[in-house]
Amino acid sequence: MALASEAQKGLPSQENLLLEYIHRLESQKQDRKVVHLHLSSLRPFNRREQHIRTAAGNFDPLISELHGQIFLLKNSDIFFIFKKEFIGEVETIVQKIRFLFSDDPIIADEGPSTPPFATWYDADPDFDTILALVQGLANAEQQRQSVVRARMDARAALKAKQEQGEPMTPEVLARLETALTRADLSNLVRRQFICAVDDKMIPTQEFSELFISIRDLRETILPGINLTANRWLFQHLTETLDKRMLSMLTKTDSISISGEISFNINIATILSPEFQAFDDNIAASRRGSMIIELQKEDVFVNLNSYLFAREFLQEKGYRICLDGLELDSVQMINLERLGVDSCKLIWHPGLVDGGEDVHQRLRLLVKKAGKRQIIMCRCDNREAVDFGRSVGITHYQGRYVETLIAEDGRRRELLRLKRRIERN
Amino acid sequence: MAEWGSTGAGSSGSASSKEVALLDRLKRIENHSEGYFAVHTHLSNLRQTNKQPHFIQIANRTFDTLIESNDATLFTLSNLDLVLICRNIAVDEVDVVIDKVRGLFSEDPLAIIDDSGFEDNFSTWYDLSSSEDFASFFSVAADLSLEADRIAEETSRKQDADKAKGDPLSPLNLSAINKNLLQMRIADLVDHQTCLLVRTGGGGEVVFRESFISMGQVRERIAPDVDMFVNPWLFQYLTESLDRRMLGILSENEYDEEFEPISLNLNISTVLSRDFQRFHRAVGEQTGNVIIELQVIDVFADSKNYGYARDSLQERGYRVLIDGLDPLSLQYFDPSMLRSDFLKISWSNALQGSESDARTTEIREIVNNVGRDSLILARVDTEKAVKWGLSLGISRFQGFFIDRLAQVVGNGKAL
Repeated sequence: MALASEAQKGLPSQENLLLEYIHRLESQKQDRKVVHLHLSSLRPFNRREQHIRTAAGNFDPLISELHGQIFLLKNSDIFFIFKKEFIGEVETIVQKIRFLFSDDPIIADEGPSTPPFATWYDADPDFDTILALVQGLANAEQQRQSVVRARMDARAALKAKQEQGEPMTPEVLARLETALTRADLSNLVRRQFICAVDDKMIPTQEFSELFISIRDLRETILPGINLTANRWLFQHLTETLDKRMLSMLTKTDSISISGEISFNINIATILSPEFQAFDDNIAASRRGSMIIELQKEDVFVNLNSYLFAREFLQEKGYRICLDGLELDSVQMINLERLGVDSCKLIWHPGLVDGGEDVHQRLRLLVKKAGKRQIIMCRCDNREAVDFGRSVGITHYQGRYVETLIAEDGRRRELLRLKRRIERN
Repeated sequence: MAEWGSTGAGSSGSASSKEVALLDRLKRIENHSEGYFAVHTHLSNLRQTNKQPHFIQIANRTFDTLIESNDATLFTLSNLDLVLICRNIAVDEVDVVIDKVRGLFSEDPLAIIDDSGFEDNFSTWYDLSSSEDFASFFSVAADLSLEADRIAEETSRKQDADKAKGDPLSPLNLSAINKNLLQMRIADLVDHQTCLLVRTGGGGEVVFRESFISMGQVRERIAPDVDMFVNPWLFQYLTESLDRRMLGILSENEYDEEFEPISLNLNISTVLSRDFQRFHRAVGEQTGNVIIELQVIDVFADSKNYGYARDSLQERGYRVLIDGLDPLSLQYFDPSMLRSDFLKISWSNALQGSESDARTTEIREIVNNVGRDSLILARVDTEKAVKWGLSLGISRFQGFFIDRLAQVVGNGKAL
């Protein structure tokens, strides 16, 4: 916020300047210290521009004497790098800034379970940590800018159209929904396993998610149309897909539903006669092995209906998984209060790039969630699982997990073969 | 023939046939009521939002197993109350089912078990073999029957009104409506509502004036025979077009030094579009006086882009407001993490008169947590709402009542 005008003029961001500075610091790291003030954790009303300016102003005397250098980041955090001998002065300044925000929960409720207000580093032993942290911040900022640009860029929209097809319109939606009431979708149903993955990358299957492949649906029914181009129209389409899914799940001869399964569904569908019929038709014992996945926006668009549906489902023995969470939403939503049995956090390389701060938050979150499982989904590569394990996540889903299952299958097959040969 | 006639008369009040059946049943068991008891579940006292037909239907079905395997009958009355008449069933067995129904509505104040009271608000039991209980339940049933007649009349009136609401918005009519929306004359439908900072000592100050186009009026002009509000997702689709129209109109305004703060509602996708860029050029240096309102449903549905949209707005000097919060939702997520400048909460009657209960205490904590200065209480239509807000430390208000107040305190100008 403080840097609006510079950003507009296309000057390098403070994040990048900080990164450059840290690189140069390496040669004189012995006599430097760094303090990172987490003003981004302040409540919004304490984080307005004048507050940040006031806070930063406290460092002015040290800066004008060339004893330190300040960086004000986009997220309101402050980095101050200074000569070791001024630690006393800097501590006093930080104390003063803390006092400025003493009514803010981050200071008022400071304790071992809350993120700290200030983090101190010695440039010498901590150099690599600092570098990684700053690198992460710079990457995140760069990525943020490029996404904003991409969204506003007509070129990007054109590219999306070429790659994913014409955006869906209401007319196409109407045609598609009519076609879907008759179509046999059983060959479009895909299955992906949710697995516990141990430190040797060996997966243990917990349950599998059944879903209708949107890409295949598009290719078989409406080639050249981008079904997901408009979020609201797509959301409407999912209500029709829900009903097809339920009817397939009732007719177990059309798809196999062995083992514990999960599927995505709208809350409106749960409260509809179709779901009631589905519920009547499945054996009571099956309900305990079914996990209903709900999208967060669907939960919050009508919380009242969610609360009712939750009681209904859980009383019948179904379990509920909250799907589609990103870092921001998983931190914001009160999972305990919502009473979900598990939730899915979407893997994104940004989680790693977010730096130690984000990692620490996630670690706390996983710990706090306790038995309420956090599943990391859309894991495309090993990095996802490695990162997830580092913050305490045990369950995974995605293309990478599918390859782990295949590898594990091959390994077991080889073992069996080997034993048979040994016996012979 | 006379009998046919009376059946006809009965069916004209068919909404009350359940009540009649209940009274008939009571009359039949009056003289040999051994082993009979009744459980009256007061679903009519649920909050309006919990009285949805599919909720009641699911509540009903909770009794299925009990009824199938026992001598029990369930009467679903016109006012949505449920009456269960049982014979020789263990109380515990029935209790389990009543508790299940209570569980379904666990977020409703009606379901709260009040340890201090003698009677449970949710359900009342009558031992029909006791003549005293029988008499009092019979009188309850008679009252319910009278009430049913009144409800039947109301229902038929409401059905007419529902018919007037028209066909629901669907993918079939959406396209034509959307096209109309993009082409119709609309500038004359732009309306304003003042957000006022109310001081406890009296007086007020305009925080901003919200510019909006009432969907109700749009509907009257382009699709009077369509119910646009029935489907949240398709309605949201239309708001994207409405955004473009609104920005088109507002881009024509002069944004000079005299310019007073305004707010407008937009989709996140609109903020990242070219239409917004055009508006931004028109606003020029005055971004500090423009507040962009984003709907919380959009924030949840588009959380990936929300952060970018917010940052890019705030960096350019706009302030960001999250609209569409209700106090219930605040208990399920921490809105301060949205890092917006303002949060707008809707007042509802359900909030009133709960000064001291646990919910109010919780809301007070939330208010303190997100910061009083960033909260706006909207849809304020009575003085009671303002008082309630002030008692929680909220001082920014918007709504019909505030519009009247703004006129009184100074023609809406800042004092």
